[in-house]
Amino acid sequence: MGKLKAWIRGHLPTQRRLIQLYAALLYNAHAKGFITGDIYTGSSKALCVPGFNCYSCPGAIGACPLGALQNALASSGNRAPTYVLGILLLFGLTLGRTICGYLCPLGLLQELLHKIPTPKIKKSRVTRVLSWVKYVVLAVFVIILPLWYALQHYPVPAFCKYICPAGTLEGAIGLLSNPVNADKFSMLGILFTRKFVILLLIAVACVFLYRAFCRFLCPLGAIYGLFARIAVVGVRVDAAKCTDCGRCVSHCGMDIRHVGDHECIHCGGCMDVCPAKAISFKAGRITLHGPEVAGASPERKKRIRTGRLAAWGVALLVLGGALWYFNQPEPAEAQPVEPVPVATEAPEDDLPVGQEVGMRAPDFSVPVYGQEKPFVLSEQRGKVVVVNFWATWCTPCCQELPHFDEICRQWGEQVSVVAIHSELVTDDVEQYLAQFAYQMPFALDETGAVIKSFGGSTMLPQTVVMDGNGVITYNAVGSVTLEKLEALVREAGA
Amino acid sequence: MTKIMPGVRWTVAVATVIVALLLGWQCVGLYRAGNSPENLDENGVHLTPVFSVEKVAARLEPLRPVLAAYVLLVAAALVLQAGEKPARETGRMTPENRLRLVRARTGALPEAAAAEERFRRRLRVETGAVVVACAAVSLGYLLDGSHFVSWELEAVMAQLLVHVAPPVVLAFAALIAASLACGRSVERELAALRGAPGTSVQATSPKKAVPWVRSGLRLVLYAVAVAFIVLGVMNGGLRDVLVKAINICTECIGLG
Repeated sequence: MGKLKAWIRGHLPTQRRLIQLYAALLYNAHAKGFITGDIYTGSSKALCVPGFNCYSCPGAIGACPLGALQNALASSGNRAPTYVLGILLLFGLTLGRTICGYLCPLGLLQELLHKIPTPKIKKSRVTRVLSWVKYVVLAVFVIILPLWYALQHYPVPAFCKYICPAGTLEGAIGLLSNPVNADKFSMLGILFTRKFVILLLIAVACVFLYRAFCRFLCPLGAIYGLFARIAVVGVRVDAAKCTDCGRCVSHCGMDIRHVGDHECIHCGGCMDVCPAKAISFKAGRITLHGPEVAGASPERKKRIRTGRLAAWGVALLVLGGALWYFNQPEPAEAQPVEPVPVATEAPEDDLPVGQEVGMRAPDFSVPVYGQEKPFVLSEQRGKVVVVNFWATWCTPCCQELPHFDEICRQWGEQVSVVAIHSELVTDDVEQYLAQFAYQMPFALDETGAVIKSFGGSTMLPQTVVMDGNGVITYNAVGSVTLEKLEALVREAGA
Repeated sequence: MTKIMPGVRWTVAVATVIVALLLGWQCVGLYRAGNSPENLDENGVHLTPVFSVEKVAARLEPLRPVLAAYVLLVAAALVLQAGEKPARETGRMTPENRLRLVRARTGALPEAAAAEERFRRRLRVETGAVVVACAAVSLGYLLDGSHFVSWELEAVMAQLLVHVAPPVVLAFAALIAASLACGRSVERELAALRGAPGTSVQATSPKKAVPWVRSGLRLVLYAVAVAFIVLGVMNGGLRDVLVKAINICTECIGLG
């Protein structure tokens, strides 16, 4: 019995593991998103979470700091990215890479993958050199590429688009795994294939190498690593006690040269192996964990235990509150203030009005930039109509705009094209459009009613094609090529 | 139990690689099939979507027993591993640390040891030069805006790979080679120092007092962070983050 108890005690999750799990749960408290297949759209998403957690994950309640940084840099042509930089500075100064060790869901996932019993590749001089690769990734994919394209008013979050495993796993696979999003499979192509293979490579690497992504590729870790010397919270070595035995460095799975350097994730694993008891986990001058605490008087130990229990109690209350708040049932839909979309004119048939292919498109009227006359769908009868829902912050949207403009130029009077900007406007759209010589009309969906009436939600871009009778022949989310657009227009009868 | 664990670990390792290869192969296969000439019309437009629930399900169906077997294998291996005695932490000093300690106890450096030190210094300078040259080539490309004007990002990325990846790989290869050479040099120096006359100087850890500069810098940076956040809230940066976070840019998460 005693042996069993000892075994269980030896295999219980550590305090750090519990904190990691807690952080992962708290970041993804919108649990009902996994059931509804949609993402959370509340105001808490204006705040960045400290760890790596894709904001397109159905459960995410906060923004990913790295995604937000790339987006802010991509918008830096319009405004300085001070908000995200300030947030990163605050996190870095306070916690540094303690975030990687305790508050990163992707870090937790990597550590769990590393638990799979296989022969492990130990750190070496080679891995230590390779740990600098993440700074190259940070410079090229997070800073230089988004900044160059920001000058052209073209948002390119290159790391998200080409590398990020969290985006593929939590965002893409998280959304696709829900049957509600079955139609989204049709937009997958080379991008998904490539990112899926990258995700697999990283996952396999993590099985054999401790925190492979974190050590070699993670730009967020690279950013937090810059604060290693000044972060308030982290492990500290008592130089007077240290005997330079090197056990801490040899025990650590990360490519550290010494405890607390820019590679150290402050997991505290070294505290248990230090024979001189020289390492402790501190917040400023306060020792949170370490030999001082272990060797404290019984009264102090009791106080510490009570403090810990109270902290966990508060933390669990916060988690419970978050789970309750973010998973409340949607309030009953209020009576629509906007006029209910009606069918386009001349219903010579009794087709139902709706968003599906084969249905009659709901009529709408939207104000057009630079024109007094609004764009009214019912006035386009006899023409094929192409509607593109887009936004200035959406990379594929901006990329495909020239294709729609080409259709507008090529097909002239036969096809009516309109690009409708999402109701969420952060940039000056007119200023954006002034950069280009587009011929097609650009309109604004002021209330979001139009995109909703076409079944749109949070995903952009979306393209809708209607025939001359206002019947929908195509309605899908995802990028389209010029060839595909031409085929769709022809199919609709132009 | 301990005897069979290495075999179990190798089995799981091979199984992990096979499962990953199979998953990757199915995904790539699906993509290739979707882009085969049979699925394209005369304008190059797909006749049926490259991916669909049915296609993915059909591809995953034969993998189900493999995945189930893999999960069972990993679970069994974890159970076996749990019964294993934990390895004793021994810890080993890095050669550099050992050298520092040995040197602190050594009087005059023998010529062989001094030569090793000179060799490492020269190696550092040479490697530094190679890295700087590679960085200059990469930055020369990256900082030239004319390379980033096309909106055809696939082509831009391909060019980026062609021009930036080779110097970066070369720089890292040089660093790895230098690091390995340095390691061997340190070992050689340690061997040379063995038996060298010692001094009474004892090895001491470098004592680092927390400089007041650090606290000051921290305070200044905190003030900057708060100012940046306030400015960001005022200039619309907060709304930018919100808008991006509550909408899904399909390409940004790899959907397409």
